[in-house]
Amino acid sequence: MTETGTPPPWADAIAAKADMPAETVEEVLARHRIRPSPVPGQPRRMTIESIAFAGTKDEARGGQPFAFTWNGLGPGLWAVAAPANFAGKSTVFEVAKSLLRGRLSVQPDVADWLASAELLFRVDDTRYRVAVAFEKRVPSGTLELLKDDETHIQLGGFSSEPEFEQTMGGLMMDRLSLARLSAWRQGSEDSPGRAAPHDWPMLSEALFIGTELRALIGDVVVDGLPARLLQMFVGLPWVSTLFEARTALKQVEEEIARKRRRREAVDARRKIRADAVRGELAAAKARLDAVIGSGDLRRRLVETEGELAGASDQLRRIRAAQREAEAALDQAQAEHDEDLRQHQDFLEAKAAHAVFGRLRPTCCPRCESAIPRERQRRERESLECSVCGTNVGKRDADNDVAERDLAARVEASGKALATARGDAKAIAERLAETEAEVLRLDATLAGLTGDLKGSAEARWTAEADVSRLEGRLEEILADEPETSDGPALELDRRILKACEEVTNDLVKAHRDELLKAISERLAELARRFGMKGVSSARLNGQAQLSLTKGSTETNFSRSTKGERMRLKVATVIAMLQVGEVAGVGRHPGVLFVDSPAGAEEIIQEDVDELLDGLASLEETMPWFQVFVATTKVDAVADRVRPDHARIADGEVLW
Amino acid sequence: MLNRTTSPHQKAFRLLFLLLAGGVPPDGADAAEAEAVFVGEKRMQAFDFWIRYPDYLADELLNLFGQSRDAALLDQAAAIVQDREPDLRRYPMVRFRYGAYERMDDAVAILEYRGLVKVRMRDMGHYGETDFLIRPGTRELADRAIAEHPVLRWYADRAALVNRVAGGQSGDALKERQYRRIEYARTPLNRTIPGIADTVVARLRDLLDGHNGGSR
Repeated sequence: MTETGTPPPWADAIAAKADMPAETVEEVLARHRIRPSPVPGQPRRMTIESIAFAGTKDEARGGQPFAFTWNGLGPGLWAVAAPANFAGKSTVFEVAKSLLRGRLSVQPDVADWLASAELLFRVDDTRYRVAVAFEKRVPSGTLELLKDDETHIQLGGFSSEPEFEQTMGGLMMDRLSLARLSAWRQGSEDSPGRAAPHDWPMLSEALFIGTELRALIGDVVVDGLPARLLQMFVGLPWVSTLFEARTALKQVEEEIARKRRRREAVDARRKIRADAVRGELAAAKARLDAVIGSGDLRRRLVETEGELAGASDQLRRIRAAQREAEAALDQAQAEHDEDLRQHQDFLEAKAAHAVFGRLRPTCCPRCESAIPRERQRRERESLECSVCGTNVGKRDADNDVAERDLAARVEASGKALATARGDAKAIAERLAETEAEVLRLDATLAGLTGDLKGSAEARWTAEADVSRLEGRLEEILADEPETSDGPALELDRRILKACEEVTNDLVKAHRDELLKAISERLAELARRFGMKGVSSARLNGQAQLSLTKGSTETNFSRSTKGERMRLKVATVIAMLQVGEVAGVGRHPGVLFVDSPAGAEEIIQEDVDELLDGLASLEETMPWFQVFVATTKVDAVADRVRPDHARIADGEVLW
Repeated sequence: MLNRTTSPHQKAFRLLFLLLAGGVPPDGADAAEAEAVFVGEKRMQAFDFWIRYPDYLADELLNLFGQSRDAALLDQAAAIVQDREPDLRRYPMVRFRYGAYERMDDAVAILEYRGLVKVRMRDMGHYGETDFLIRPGTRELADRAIAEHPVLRWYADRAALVNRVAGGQSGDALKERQYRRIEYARTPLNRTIPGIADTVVARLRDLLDGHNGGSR
């Protein structure tokens, strides 16, 4: 979210680091709900108002019922003191802790005795009551909101351990605005990681300093917990933003990884399909190459067509020649026939003439008169026709010439006829040859055409296959899955990384400052609590404490139990004070310090100093409520207001 | 071949053999001056047509074969065709109203002049019939002529064949037979009668195939 007016420097710094325009950065941050938190936010203040519990001791301890009530609690230093160790001081704190946490954690025997417990507390201006009944340690009860007019609203009911924890956890995380401190839980393929809101039992450790002394802050040693608990006390600015940024970044990186894994799977599958198609395509191309040899076929086809055309032309010419030859033959025949007839007629005529010429005429054909002998004689001698007187001799001479002439003509035309016959025969033979050739070429052409068609069909099929498979391959390769998200996600990742880095720098800067101040104060308090040798302390972001005692470098773990007790208290107080002064205090404002003198290592003076130190908090932090349980009754009597102390009469408190 | 020049002596010779081939022994009155008689000018014209158109003669031979199934007739028709007689031995005639006709006056005159034949008119009432008396010795002379001039032999043989084809029928009957064929050939009036060689060849081929149960 941006503020109105000039863009905040934080967003600018991110934009600069990510090398992105400011509008893009703001959009991404808003989308991932990363809000700037330069100020840690108003802390919620809690105040316990009353603690009560009751039960029945077991037979071994007397079997008597017991009850404890402490009302009218408020801010300030409160103490519970009993000289002996097993007077039940811790139980008071443990019950309070149990009710606050929603988880029963009292000593085992007390747990069996406990029948009921009730806690009244206030968060800011709202009062709450949690009342629980225990049946063999199983809690059942209610959480109510108490209004000013004494009416109450039930906020939740529970009848089992998980329900109890959920009820209290839900209330605390919400009312104390602790959701933004929750950690990122690593996710899996099916359920991505998410922020876990059920951290109240852990975070509530910041309210208790108990007899467990292994951790500097809180009672439980869990990885990363001290750092977060530190943030419970000292609300560093930008920390929640840092968490939000880290959360969002992890989400995005997981998403990117998931998408990449998915894409790789899809790509792998796609590659398999593409390779299969490539295989088919190669086979189809091989088939096509085999078929393309039809080029040779085509060439032969064209050649044959040419030959056929030539032969057909020749056929036409020969047929025309044949027609001419046959016409010439007819002509020659006709001419020869004519010559034959003429010659024959001539010979016949000559013979007939000879036959009739020898016959002596007897009578006139016209009148049948007899021909006189004189005429007959004249005809024989002078060759004058006895009928008409024409000289017939000359005709005979002419006839000889004519006969020879006709004979010659018969021979000549006979020869011509023979030649014409020969020509016609030759042409007929050539025609037959050429017709056979044409038929042969025709058949060859038909065969080649058939072959070409067949190969053409095979070729079309192969070409169709190739083109279909190429198209299929293109389709497969072009099938890009969900790339649209990729760049957007990458952009987000870049910006969120920059945001994390920028915010981390801010956090670090502030924290280093604060830690320095805390460390100095801590050292002071440690000296006040009896650890005179501590010349300096260094508290780091992971809540690890190192000390310089005189000239020795040491740390929290290497200190004695008694020292550790004092250092824990000193750390808490230092954090609270510095936080208050710096304006970054976030602690809810309730602290239970159990038996600082429970261990023999703590001596009277130390307890006095502790109590003084805790009392001094009232001045600077009037809202602060701290409970102390100790065996040092005197110290309590001296340092704590009487109406703030519960001192055991005799041995036990209850 | 529309015009074929046949000399008058040729024609006369042809006529002589026709008369000789178609002549019959004379009856009482004619026996004194003739050794044979050819009866009727019409008959003579009919004989003349058949000797002058070998393809029509061959056609008649095939008709006769159809009736008698005498193979000799078939062979004769085949020979006429094979010897190319329709081309070489056709002596064209003009078609008149009643069929083929040509004046034979010159040929007759030559025969009469040489004392071989005498024309005799027979009175039939309102018309006259012409007969041809063949003088004694004419046959002998004709035989001698053929012996000396073998080139003339064909006429003798052919005339004999024509006589056989005529089968003793009268001139009218023969004209009738010929007229049908000429009419079928659709010869226009006053035009030269055309040949029917192609038809005869085709008919011959069919008959030869049928007769021999296959191709010859």
